[in-house]
Amino acid sequence: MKKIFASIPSSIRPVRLIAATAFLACAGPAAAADVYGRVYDTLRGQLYPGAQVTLVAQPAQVVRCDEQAGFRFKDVPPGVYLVRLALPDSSVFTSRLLVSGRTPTTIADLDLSRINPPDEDDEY
Amino acid sequence: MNIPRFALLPLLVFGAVSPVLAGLDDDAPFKSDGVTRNTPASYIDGRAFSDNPSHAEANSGLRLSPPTGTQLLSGQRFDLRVETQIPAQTPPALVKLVVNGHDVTARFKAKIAAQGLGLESGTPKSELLFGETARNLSFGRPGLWKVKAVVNVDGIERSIENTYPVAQPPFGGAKGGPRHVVFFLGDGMGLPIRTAARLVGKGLFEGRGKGGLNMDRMDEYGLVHTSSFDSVITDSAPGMASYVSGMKQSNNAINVAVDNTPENSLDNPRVETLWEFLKRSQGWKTGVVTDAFVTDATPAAVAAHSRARADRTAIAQQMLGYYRDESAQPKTGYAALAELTQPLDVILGAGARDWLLKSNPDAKSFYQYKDKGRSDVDLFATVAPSLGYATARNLAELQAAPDNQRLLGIFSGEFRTTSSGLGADNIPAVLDRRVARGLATIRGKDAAAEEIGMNVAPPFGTGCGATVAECFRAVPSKKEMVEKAVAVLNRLAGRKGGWILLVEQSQTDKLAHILEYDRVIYEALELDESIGWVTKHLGTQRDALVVVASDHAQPETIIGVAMPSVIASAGAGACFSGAAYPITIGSAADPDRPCALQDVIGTFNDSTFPTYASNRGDGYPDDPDPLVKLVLEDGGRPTYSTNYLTNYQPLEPTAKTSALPNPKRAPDGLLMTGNMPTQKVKAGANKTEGNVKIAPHSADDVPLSASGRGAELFGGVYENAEVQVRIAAALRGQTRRAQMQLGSGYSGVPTTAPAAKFLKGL
Repeated sequence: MKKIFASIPSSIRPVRLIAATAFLACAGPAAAADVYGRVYDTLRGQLYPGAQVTLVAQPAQVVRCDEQAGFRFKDVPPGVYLVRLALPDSSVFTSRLLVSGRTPTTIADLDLSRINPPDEDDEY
Repeated sequence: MNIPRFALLPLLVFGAVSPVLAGLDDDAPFKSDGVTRNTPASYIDGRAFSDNPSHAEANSGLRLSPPTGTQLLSGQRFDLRVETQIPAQTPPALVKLVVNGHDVTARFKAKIAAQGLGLESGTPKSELLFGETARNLSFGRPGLWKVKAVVNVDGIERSIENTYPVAQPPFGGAKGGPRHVVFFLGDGMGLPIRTAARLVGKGLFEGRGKGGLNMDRMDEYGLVHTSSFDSVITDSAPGMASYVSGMKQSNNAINVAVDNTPENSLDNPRVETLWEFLKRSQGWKTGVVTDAFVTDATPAAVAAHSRARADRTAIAQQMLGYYRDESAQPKTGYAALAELTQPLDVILGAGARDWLLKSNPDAKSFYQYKDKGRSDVDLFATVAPSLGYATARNLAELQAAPDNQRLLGIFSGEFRTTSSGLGADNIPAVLDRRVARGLATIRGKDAAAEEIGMNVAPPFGTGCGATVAECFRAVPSKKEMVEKAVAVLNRLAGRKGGWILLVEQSQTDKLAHILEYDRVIYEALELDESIGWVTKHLGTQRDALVVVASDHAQPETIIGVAMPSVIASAGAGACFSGAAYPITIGSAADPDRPCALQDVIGTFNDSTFPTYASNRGDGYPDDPDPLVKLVLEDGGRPTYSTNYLTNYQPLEPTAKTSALPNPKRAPDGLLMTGNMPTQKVKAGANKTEGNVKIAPHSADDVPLSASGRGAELFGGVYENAEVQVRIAAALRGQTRRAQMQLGSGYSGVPTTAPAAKFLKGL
């Protein structure tokens, strides 16, 4: 047994393993979180109030941005999601959302200048 | 709940799928076991995982700018911003701001009051968000600086603390350091392009290189991580700006941090660049040389500040230090910005539309813009001369410009209407300029050949010459621009003064985006020629530092060799027809045999050495299609077709509808289907548009080379944001890496917590 412990790097020997386990236990399981974000395009300096944002999930959440282009999803279980963004001109964009559930609110701004890869080499 | 009817459409669509958490595209259960791989359990599994977090308080999104860990220099200016990201129920308020244990709340509030609310302080429109920026501060001593903010949000005090490792300033060393710095930036020039340039420019014999590039003969080498603040893969804006500011930045950002006023790209919290710092504090002269439009992300990164690299007209004004209301870069609201920016002494490149009024006849007749130009002020014809700049439009004017005067040179772009690559904003490719000068051919065709498209009048007037070839001949090469820039900087700085110059080879990136790899190699060779001139010219002065770096890589790689004459004789059109996509693999004459094009590449064991020739002995191949040529391909690509021959003119890879290849470009070639994201999707259209139209960047580390005094400091593997500290150490006279480790874990940063009184500007 001694040999086994000796083969473990000092940085993860039993005391530290126990401490790490206790820390994780105290941290508790990930919980559902709210998601808050804004929809904008930094390259154009444009906010998108009224944009429709859909959390692709079961059940889906469909919300519409407020006047500050903000949106909020409630009680989203931890996980990875696609988010569909529909603008008033019917353009549809897809982004990704990761919710750890380890913070009460996940901030997920949707910046079209990042979501939408440009077609022109001058924009890279 | 009253939801509009059309808003229910996604529910109807997505509600029909099996119960998974993500969408249709990525989460269909695997047929073999019915399990969806994209469920959260497989990612989380009880362990912490990254949700791409930034350093912010969890409930309010309270954060500080600059981002924690920004590697500043002592005396370097920055804006300190405190802001929340999630709207509160009532207006939040700053409770306390503490710097290295000292309460500076009153000083901070006084500074905001003095600046005034609005643009100067970055005030959010919504009072339910907190946001205040104190401009142009600096840490006056090296060491570890901790800044803690406490904000009352709906009755609860939320706090956040950032740490800034602050290194020694780039001056004041006991021995002194180099007084001339040239920073070469091969845009998108990853290792495959450096390798390809060596193989093409120097050749191989029995496996040994027949010579090395100048950039391969430098004193020291490093490997640089290039990820940006918010993306594994950077674009050129933070890719370059991080080098010269010490701050990791968001994609599309130039020397600013993100903020909660995304509707305004010019009010973000800023950081001073090394170019600005040296000019402000030491009176150094500064310059940029590029083949892109001058306001492009890389050249702008040494002298401008904007959240949006697309703010080209405002960036041009910042480069000159010209602020005026009723223009793209107003004066009102930007007093702190005007105080921060420093006019460049040498500006050479392209992109006349950001400098000339549209009504200036040169915009059309000389620079060949059909209908582009500024609408507010003519920087080139009026403002720059009034600020003391000489101006130049072509090689003759460049060489005739005085050396004792600031210089603004804006040259012609690739304006051929038969070419769809680069465009009038960017200087023509090296290969095409060499064809125009009679120094190269493309499969034997010279500038007189119809396919080349140069023996015709320019499309919108003959201001730059009677023919396209004449106009292109008048565009200076990179070496010609660098020679002039160095002459001017030397004269302006004087014997005891210093200067720092950025030299960008932009089209190692731009031409790779459109998969013009043969031309990309010529670009790298032109950069190398300039490096050779600088290292030889400045090396004799013994007080120069030369750095060669890249802002990021692209996913291109060398896959083998091909024989152009065989390709041509194979008659690729006998196998494929551009009019009948999707194609069937197989020879039309003999369906049981593959098309000859599919066997044309010699790869792996069968890659014989390329046979490029340079009869002029200047390091450039006489023709990009010799008997045996190098073949590069891309790991991330649009849909296109290729026959591995050099296009007579730069051409976009895709058709107008990017689902199909450009029919003008190798219509008889192999079809390469795009693997990039789909784009321009409209509700109900179902991705018919196709993939993104050009190739992307990649996250690969990039090589960095250095020569001259302090070159040893650049050995190792490090972040792009750590390069500024290394340059500063070199300028202080340090020459050994061991001298930079001062105990804190950050290069060049001692383990001390300076007193708050050394926080300047508050």
